[in-house]
Amino acid sequence: MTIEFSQVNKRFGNIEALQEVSLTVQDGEFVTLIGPSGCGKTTMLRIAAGLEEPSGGEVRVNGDTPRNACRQHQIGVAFQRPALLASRSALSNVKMTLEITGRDGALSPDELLTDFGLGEFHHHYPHQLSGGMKQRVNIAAALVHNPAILLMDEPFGALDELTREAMGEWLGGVLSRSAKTVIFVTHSVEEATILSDRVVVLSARPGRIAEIIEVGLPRPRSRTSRTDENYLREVARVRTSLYRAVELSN
Amino acid sequence: MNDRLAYLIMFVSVPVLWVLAIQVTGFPSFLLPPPDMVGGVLWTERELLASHTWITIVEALTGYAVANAIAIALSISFLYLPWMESLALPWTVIIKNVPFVTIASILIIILGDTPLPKIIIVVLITFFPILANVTKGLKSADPVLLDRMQTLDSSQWEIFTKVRWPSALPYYIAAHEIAFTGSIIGAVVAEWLFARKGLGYLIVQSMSQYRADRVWAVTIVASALAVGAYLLVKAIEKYLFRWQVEDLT
Repeated sequence: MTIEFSQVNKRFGNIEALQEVSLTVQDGEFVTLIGPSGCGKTTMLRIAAGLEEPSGGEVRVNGDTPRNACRQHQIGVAFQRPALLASRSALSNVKMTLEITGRDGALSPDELLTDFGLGEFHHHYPHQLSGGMKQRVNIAAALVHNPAILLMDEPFGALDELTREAMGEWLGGVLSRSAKTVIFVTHSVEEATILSDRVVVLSARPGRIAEIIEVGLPRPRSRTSRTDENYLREVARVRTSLYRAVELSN
Repeated sequence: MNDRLAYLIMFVSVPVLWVLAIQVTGFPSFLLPPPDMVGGVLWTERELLASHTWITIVEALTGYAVANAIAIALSISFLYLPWMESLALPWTVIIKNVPFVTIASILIIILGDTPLPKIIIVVLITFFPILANVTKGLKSADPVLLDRMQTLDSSQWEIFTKVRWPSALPYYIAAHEIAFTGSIIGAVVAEWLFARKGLGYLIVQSMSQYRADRVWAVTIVASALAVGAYLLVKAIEKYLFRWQVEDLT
């Protein structure tokens, strides 16, 4: 499954959120969007999810519209704030996805949660779970119907540094077992570097692509990679590019 | 302090204060009857009290069911047809603020001594808190959840049953806390204005006969009904939201 942005523009009133954005995400690729606030990262993701319509240009998901991709249950979205129903247990929240999409080709909600390290928490309610656990349930609910595409909007944004690292490593493991085309939005250079095949650096006002960086790090990557020299060099590259993009925005 | 203990203290205090009031004021029993006298009425006239109570309950429940049906239907229409809400707003303001006693009098003149004016009064009193709460509750659904539902290509029905209604439920139950008790008060007041049956009528009749003991008995029955309605709602709330208090272990 590929995702193709062709000269996408998006306006909200007088504000130009996205300008001439063109990007092709390859099948099975992990692409991260990074940039200063207001650069349109989330807008790009929402357009790819069919939640917003572009004002100009178009987005194609495997040659089709995002809405049609949603209709075929090809897209899973994990939002920054967990989209969980307070009155449903963790397991029931994950099952809710399947109540809508049906079980064809789906993963087992029980096994998925256990695999996500929530074996003892199937019947806990969201308010009884920590932030990291809730986010894992949220991601489980986003991919239980086994979509080919996973869109993630700062899923670890609200977590502390260590939990965040652990979650990143965990996500890498999940994706190595079941490859998906991923667009991931983050504010963290380190997170972008360790997770991605390519990092797309956006600048703001108007939001446009400043630079695309290929991350030259072998997989699998783990927490120990974070102290690796090559990793630190890649982080520096992404950070330099981000600084340039921020200057461009001002 | 323990809640049950507080209730117990209240139940014991009421007759004590009652007896004390009689001692202090020295009112004769035909003005201020002692608890044992009222207790006697409750027992010896139990059939009369029960038959009139039943009338009041039927009126209150019928009116309440109608109020719920109208209020929920309107709330749902507000959600999907915003112009309905604009259109209905002046009506709800009128219905909420016109003194219902005057409307009751008008209704009784038109409809006479039938159950209908009582039911309409109950509807007028109880429908607004339900409408306001359910409308607010349906709109309180988490936008992130609604986005999630959209990316899964959910039908409007699925979005309503799985996200909108569960989000509105706590608001709906909160409305019952106010309105269910109000339905009994509304029915009693409507009967009190003009009726030949029901607890409200029994008050009027007992007063005209200077039967203070029976007025007190009716007061106790009506209070027990209203408090019972409130406690029933509380119990349902506790059951529906038991997951909120469930312990981690």
